Amino acid sequence: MIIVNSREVPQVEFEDLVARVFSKSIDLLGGIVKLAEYKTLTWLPSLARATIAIVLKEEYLRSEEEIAHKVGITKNTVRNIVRADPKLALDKMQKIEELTKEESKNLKTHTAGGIAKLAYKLVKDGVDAKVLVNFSSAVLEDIMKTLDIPWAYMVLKRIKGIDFPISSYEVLQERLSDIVSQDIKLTELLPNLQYPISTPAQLIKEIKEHLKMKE
Amino acid sequence: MQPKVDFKNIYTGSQALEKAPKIYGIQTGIEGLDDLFFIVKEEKGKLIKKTLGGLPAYSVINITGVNDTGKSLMAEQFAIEQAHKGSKVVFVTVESPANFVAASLQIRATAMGYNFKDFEDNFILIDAASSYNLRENIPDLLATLAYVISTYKARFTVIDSVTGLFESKEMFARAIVRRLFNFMKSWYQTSIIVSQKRSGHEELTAEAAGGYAVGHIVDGTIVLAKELIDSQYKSKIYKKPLGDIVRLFRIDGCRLSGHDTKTHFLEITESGLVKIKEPISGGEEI
Repeated sequence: MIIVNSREVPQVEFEDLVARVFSKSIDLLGGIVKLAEYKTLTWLPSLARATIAIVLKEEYLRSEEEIAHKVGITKNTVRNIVRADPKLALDKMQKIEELTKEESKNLKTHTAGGIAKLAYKLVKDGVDAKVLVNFSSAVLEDIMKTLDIPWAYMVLKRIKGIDFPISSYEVLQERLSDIVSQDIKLTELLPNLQYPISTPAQLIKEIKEHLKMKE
Repeated sequence: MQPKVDFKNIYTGSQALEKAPKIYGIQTGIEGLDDLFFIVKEEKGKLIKKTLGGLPAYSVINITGVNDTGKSLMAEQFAIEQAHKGSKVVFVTVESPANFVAASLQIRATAMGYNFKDFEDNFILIDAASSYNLRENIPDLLATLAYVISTYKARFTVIDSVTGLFESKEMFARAIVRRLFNFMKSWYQTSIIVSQKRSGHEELTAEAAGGYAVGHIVDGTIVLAKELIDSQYKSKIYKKPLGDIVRLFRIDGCRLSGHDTKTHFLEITESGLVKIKEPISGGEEI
């Protein structure tokens, strides 16, 4: 009989998820540089606390009391974070100038909670922060080069700076216009891929599957 | 951000059918249970009810009841039957440590007439009873399950009991069961989850499967109950002498196939096996 206990299995990286959601939250606010320009870097601690609280609540199903203990905030603050309205935060973020005026030094708990909640949802839906997508795309490009899959690293090179998720093929058409694999022009395949595509890896996978079908 | 259409999750009927697994019966090793599930087929222009011969494949079935009604026995019998047939079975134990469950499985297998040694390695036990981390961290439990299912190519998963996963946080019960259910579906597991019912809840209803509407999430629920014959009236309707205990069984809904809707007697034999007997309303023993 085979008995498995927790010591033998890979642990889910809580910190990784928190970091991804935190990055996405910064992304939603316009990026770290924009926050510096608006002199609102003071928001980051509140955002980090809200992110940890949301991940503990949504992913690890922790109680408000446990979260308060872990993050070092009051139960009431946790409640404000987890009950925050992401839609309200979204409306505020779209007018960042007003938001900075309204919450000059400290980001209010419910705004931070709303942003973190939205970021968590997007990350779970596969839409990571731009900086992470760009970095993973660069790593992927290296791998494709090493494995000698020319069309794949050409695609990754050309899509640099593109915004994910990609919702239609038009944005790719011009960039990939001259890439050919096994005598098939990639632009011919693009309209048939399944959109939206949320990561560079998914784009490569979709193209590969369609190339296979043409074989 | 504008609301967006999620194209990936829209299917026409034929597209969905292409992805749909074929439903067939999975034998449970529980006498009298397998013929209670059926499908309706068309033959020569007529609709005919055909027995499925077991639980519908790929279903997530919740067995619920108060203590000492035979929930764990049923789950163990099912697991043994499938392991004996050569399939890999994941058994997540949340109540008793794995070595105690292993001993219990061995006794049950002997009672079923099988030589446990022949197929003991078809069981992969996940010991969430001894591990606080697995019991409290659902993502870690799911990661462990995914690792075990993909490593050992398991097709069946038993969780005994799911109630132990939300013992101290009942308000998360539905969220936890929903995650487990989605997980089982995405890994194409045929699964039995055991949940405990509080004695205060009405007998033979699935609603009190832990009291948290778990029945709405899973594919089907089997409800077990026991009743003390403490009045002449009960003695008459159950045809048992005063002082006896009767155990009852009912299938409370199954999304994937048709099922018998009657309440049946349930017997736990001296060797510790569960048998489903005739309906309490009378009729032939099955």
